[in-house]
Amino acid sequence: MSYAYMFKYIIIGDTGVGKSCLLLQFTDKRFQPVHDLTIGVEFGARLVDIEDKQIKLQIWDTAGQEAFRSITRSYYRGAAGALLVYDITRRETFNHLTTWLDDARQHSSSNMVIILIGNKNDLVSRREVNAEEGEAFAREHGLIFMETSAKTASNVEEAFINTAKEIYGKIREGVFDISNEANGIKLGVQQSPSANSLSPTTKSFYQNTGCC
Amino acid sequence: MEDVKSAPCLKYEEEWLALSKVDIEMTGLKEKIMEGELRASRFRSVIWRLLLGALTPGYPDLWSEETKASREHYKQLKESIAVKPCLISEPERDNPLSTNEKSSWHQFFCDKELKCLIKQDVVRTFPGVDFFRSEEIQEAMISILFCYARENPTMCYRQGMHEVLAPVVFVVKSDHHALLHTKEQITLRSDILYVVNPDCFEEDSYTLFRRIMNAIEGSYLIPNVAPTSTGYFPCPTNAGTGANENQVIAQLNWIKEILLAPSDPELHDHLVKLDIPLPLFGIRWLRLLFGREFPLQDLLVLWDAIFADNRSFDLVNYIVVAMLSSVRKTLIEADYTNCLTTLMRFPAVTDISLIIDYALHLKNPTVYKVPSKFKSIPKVSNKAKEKKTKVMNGPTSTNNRKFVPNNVHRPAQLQSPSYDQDLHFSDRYLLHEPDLLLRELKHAQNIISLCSAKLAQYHRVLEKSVDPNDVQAHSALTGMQELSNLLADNVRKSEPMAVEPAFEAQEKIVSPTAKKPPISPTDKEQVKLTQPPSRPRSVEMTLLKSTSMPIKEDDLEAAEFTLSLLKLS
Repeated sequence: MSYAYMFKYIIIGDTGVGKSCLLLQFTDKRFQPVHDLTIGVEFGARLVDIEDKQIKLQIWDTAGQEAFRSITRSYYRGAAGALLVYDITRRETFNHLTTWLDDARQHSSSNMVIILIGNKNDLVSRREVNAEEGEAFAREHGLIFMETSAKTASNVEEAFINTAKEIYGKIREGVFDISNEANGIKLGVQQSPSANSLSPTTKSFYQNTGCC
Repeated sequence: MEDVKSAPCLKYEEEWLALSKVDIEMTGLKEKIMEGELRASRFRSVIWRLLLGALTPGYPDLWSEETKASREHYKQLKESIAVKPCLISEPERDNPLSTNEKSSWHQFFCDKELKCLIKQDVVRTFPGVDFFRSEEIQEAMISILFCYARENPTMCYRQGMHEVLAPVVFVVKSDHHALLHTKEQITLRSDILYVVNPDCFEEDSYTLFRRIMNAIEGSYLIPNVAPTSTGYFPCPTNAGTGANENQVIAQLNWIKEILLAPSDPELHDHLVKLDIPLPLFGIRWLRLLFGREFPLQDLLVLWDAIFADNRSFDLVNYIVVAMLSSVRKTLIEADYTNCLTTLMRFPAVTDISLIIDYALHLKNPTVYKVPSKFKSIPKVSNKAKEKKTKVMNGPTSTNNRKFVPNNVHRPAQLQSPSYDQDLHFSDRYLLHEPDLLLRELKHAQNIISLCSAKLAQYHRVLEKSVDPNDVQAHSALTGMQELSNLLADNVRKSEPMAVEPAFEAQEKIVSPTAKKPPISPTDKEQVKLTQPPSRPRSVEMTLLKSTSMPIKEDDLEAAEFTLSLLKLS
């Protein structure tokens, strides 16, 4: 599949907030009420269109348990976007956001685009965190904010795509140094569908053409 | 109708009797297990107890006692950690508002927190299997995991343990069902009723779980944990990535370099080229003992084989390679995304026994043949063999040394069969490869020094017991002594030698804390012998664990001596 860019995402947040379900909804368009616990990392990929450009999202879904965060951290590096997820029906998952955010900021590129996601907004009757609180937190820390439901698919598509738009915007503004793969962005090869983005040809292609 | 009914019941008892007749090595039983014949067993949980050392094979008379002891252990453990603050005599000092960390109320709340943490995962166990939706099962699992966390505070509870426990409770429960079903029709022997007692579901599951965890705890160890009343959790101050300190990652890297690279160099290089390190998918494979990669019934057959192979579960490492090789064609043709997707959602395997057989073959090629139906056999080129020789004989990187993982217990097993191959290999290329020649020489010297040490040891043993008047025996002894000295001289004149782990393991070399060697060395040697061992203690212990033969004091002494001798330069 040809694409102009590939963006690397990570999904972080407490256990059980719906990280894997968000990914499943985005990549497979389905919902699994009880999802297997993520052990280590999971992986998903999908192509999206941003301003008529095909962009491949490579998404790393991480385990929520604190004990294995040392492993999770190694995936922060080299991510262009992060989905920081909490569960609107469990206040403690909102309370832990600062820890997650600090951790993500400390171990990733400073340009990483972070979107705050209040998931499970289909369960309004059990809501413990208001949307306003989420918004305020996002504003304070310079994050995009959205409430989603992996179950009904509400806003899921938008969450992933808005993040990609923001990243794409930063590329156009020249904020992202796309020659540095540690920023989580790779240039695709549009003419050669079979080549993968890691091949040496890709790199030399980029070097020859400069930034597009 | 009566007859039709009783036939399976008779078979039930027959199976039990066959089990009680297995010898202490369980040879026949293990062969059956490796062929996947436990699928229909009604005593799988008992066989697992035998394989994992909770019951002594060959001594069925002991089984009731052993079972009783392990059940008592669990009951006492559960009782001892159950904090009941309502029974406290001094409510003014110890109450729910107390901030004292030693307060039983504080402990009570921490226990509750840990149980919540466990429950959160337990309710998500095998979402597709109804068995695990039962509240009774979930409650039992929470209790077992909680008890394990309290009995092993540094291990605590970590995500994934619940899925190691899941097949265990499933197997124990299945055996209970079989027993209850048979009991409705015939009067069962009392020993069966005792050992397979449906009232002891939690206790017997715990026994198995604890033993499995012992073997795979390396997959769950995390560095820098700090104690809290809830459990041991990573220090918040430890902000580093810490990934390199992780044992499970070290084990996977070891598998990649030491097992995969020589057996399937093309696949190894492909994964390296795509930048797909084994931990990306392998952490889950190891931590859950392949629980997500195969359907439950196949998984149980796989576990049968792992447990039957040996108690340190070495086979796990070879299974990883066998799994990779089984999908090698797909992987090699795939790009990054497809490769990763295949590995993270392992494709359905038509026959689990192919994976087992190939893993057994990789582990022990002289005993087990390549399964004929295993299609994706990688061709091993000479180049790869050379690579293998380098890895085996050259100085091990610090990384490998530091982390010979817990589960990787048998370098000897791995290396001894291939050792011969490498000799042939170097025979053919001897003249063109001075490096190899040197390595071969070092090998030869290791053998010589080992022989010398052994001879000296035998000499000492015989010297004590030989009749002083037996002239012939004494001349033989003198001959041995001379031969030993001759060989030792030969070694000392030559270059310094690296310690070859294969030899160490085979010779049951264990303790690096060198006692005085049996033969008094010269002063110069004495200095060297007191130097710290080059290998970390854990590695030595690992080697000790791997030997199935009991180690005698004499062997230890001789082994230490051999080790010191090998270290002499």
